[in-house]
Amino acid sequence: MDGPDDDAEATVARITAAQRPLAAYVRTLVAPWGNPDDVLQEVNLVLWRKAAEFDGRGEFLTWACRVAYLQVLAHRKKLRRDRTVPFDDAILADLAGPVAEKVAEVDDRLDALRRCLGTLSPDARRLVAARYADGGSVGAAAAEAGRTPESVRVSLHRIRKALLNCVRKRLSGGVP
Amino acid sequence: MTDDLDRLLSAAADGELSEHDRLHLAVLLRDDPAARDRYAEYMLLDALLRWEKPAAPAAEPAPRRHVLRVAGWAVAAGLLVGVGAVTLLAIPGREVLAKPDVVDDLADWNLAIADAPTAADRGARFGEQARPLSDALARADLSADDRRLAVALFENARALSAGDHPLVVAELLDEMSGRLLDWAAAHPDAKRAAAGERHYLRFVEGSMGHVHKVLAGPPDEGKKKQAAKVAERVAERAEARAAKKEAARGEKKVGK
Repeated sequence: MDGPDDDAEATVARITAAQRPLAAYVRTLVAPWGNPDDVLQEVNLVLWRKAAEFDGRGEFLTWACRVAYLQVLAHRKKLRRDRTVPFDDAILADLAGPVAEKVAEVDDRLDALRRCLGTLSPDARRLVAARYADGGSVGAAAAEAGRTPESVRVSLHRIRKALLNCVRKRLSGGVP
Repeated sequence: MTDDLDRLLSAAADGELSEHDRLHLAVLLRDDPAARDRYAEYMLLDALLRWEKPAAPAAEPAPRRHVLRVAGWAVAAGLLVGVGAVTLLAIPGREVLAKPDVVDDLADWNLAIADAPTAADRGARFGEQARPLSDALARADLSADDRRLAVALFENARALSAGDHPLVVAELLDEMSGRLLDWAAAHPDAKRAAAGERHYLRFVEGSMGHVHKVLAGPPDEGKKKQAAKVAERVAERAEARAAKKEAARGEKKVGK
């Protein structure tokens, strides 16, 4: 018979397996106005505490995204005590559903992204690597490339758009 | 850039939105479902790039400002005998160099060792950097607390290099995440405290990644139970951190 330790193992396995899509979900909803790292930690705590409430029906990730959404709203409420947060509940509600659907296929997206990264020029790859390294920033990438931050900003945006088009094509089966 | 939304998406991904930009972005997203879809796709891509941390092209690696990859690739592990805590704790002499990021380098090194695919790779990653980092640490002008943490990170790297099971790696990263959090909480320099918090989060991520490896690995009930305990400690520490942050927020408001 399953004991408490078995339950704990199953919970840890589910939560750890959901980290990548949850991180993407929280960042997408929170990044422009709050602290996604703090929210993700809070989400993990709540998931840990409420794991027993997951009834095993449906997808764990769907349930976890609902939990995360409530934590996003709570984070917004906290920040609103000190300042205006223009992303209101209506915007977050409109974003939450579609974003949850997109992160459910995050492994496919990541696989497509890895292939698309391989199609970038060496200069573009270097720029992306410098921007997304731990502690990386536009300024750091510009310093490393010997360019102005403004020109790097424009390049990074173009690269992201190119990657986005490539990922979309791959996900829709347009590229082998 | 083609339009306002393009500029705002780029700034949002790079953490460079002004207050006015935030408001503008919110207005665009509130009124336009197509804008919401573009936003979601773009930010999701950014989130995946952050997760993936793509490497620079292998043929011509990008120069790094850290000492990690600058020198010492050829140092054989045999040379490391005798490089230990005593050397690292030595009081710096007149050749002291200000090296505030040696702690960052040591943290990066720990995580690089932990991420190595095999035990042999872990040993190699330790061997490649142990000498230059021990030299950098001996010369660095650090406070007593910073030096204690740096030495602990060095010793943790050594232990990680000898770790022969994901559970060992998970436990070592978890224990060090606690030290990093304590160090960050007590640090008088806000920038270094923020760096400590970032390292703490990365060590937690690393620890949980190895917990997952244990749980997804071959059946071994004992190890799986121990891995679950590590996850429990991670959660408890995160809960305590969240409570402290909340209390600090309360104090700040009272003080206003």
